[in-house]
Amino acid sequence: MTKKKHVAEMLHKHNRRKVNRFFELLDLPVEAGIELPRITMLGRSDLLLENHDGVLKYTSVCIRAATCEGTFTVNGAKLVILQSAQRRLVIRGEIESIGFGDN
Amino acid sequence: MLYSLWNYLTGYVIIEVKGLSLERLMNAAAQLGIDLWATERVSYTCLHARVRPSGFRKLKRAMKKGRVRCRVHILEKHGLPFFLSAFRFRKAILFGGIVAAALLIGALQLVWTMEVTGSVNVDKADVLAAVEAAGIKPFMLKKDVDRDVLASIVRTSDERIAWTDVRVQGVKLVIEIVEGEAAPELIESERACDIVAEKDGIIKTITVYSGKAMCKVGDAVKAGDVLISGTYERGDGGNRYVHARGDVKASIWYTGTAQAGSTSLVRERTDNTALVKTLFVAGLEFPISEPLFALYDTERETTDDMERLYVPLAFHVKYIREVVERNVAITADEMRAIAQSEATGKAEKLLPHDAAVVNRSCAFTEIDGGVRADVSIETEEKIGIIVYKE
Repeated sequence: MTKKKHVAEMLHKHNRRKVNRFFELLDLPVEAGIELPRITMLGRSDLLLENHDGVLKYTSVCIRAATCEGTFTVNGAKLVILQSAQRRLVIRGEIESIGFGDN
Repeated sequence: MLYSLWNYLTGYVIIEVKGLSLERLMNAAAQLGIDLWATERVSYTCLHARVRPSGFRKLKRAMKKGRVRCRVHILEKHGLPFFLSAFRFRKAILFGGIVAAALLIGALQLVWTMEVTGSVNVDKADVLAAVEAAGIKPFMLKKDVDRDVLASIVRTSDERIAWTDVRVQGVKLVIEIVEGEAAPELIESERACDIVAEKDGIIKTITVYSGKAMCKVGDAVKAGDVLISGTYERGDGGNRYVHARGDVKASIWYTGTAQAGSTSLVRERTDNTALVKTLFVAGLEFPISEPLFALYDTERETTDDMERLYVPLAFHVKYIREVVERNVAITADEMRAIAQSEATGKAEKLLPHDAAVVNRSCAFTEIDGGVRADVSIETEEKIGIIVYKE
């Protein structure tokens, strides 16, 4: 990552922290202000990812999506995207691991 | 399920996308508002997905503009719009299907048959006659049948009916009745009356609680004779009237006579069997096959009632066996047995259901080469009935 990009990302994180702190003071839910990625998982087979910024990689063993918190990765087998509407991804398959970052 | 139903109603296509930037296609579809679902990566350069026809057209336009460098084509088409498009050159079959459906729905709005259930002593034909008199006939609209009014009419048509229910099961009108027990006769204990004989007989016992006995044990009485009188003579020449009460039992004889000849008609079953089939449509009988024999016995019958399918059809099959009659000579003992059996049957038909049988006797007389049997059954019964004075 270049220095410019690194600075931009640091500023972006700093601004987000300030917005989060503002919403906490007003006792408002944090997700009301910034669209944080929301991950809902049911067992080991179904996963719903909301507020993503696009699919970066899709294979039957790995799905990567961009979010404001970084790259969200799902590893597993027989992965199928059941629904890919705007900023909403429904994944089904044998999920082995999930996480943020290029793992 | 609703989502699947909606997809079927709006229609969708299964597409195959080939290219290197498949993820870009997915992101571009999301940005264009194209709903892709059931997306499956088949290989590194191939992807299958489902999309609505409108979404597919948008995708094609986007590809033409060069937004995405992939090739896409349709693998399968599903849904009602594609099903109906197959009929665009066969409108007559579609019209015929709609007419058939309309006729079926119209037929289901009518009452095709009527059935009476629960009747024991009340004749079903009488109930159906009362229903017809109320204006309810087959092939009238179900909504025109006022069930409460009809139930009331049926219940009041016969005093033996205690309760009635009318309901429509499919295309059949079912009238269920429940018969009640007859109310006991009310006795006006303050009103003057006599006890008279209901039948002819010989008095066995007489017990008087009120009134004056007009007969004694051993007397022969006829129907209508006064057994216990409710009239007392006063000393001044006038009469005093009371409500006569008492029990009078008498011996009554019921007789039956029958003859038997020296030959007897015997029915013999042969090995020949056949089926008799009949189709019932809305109560009308349509024979499919006739009996092959002039004389036959019915071994068993089966009926396949298709009213559970709300169709007034019934298929009836009768299994018959040929029967041959011939006269055979019988012995004297057999003649007597046949004559006695027949005569006893005739006498027993006259017996009241609660009669206590005291004695049976049978006398035989030979006539014209045959035998005549005279059977007599003696019973002991209460024969007194109340007759009120005017």
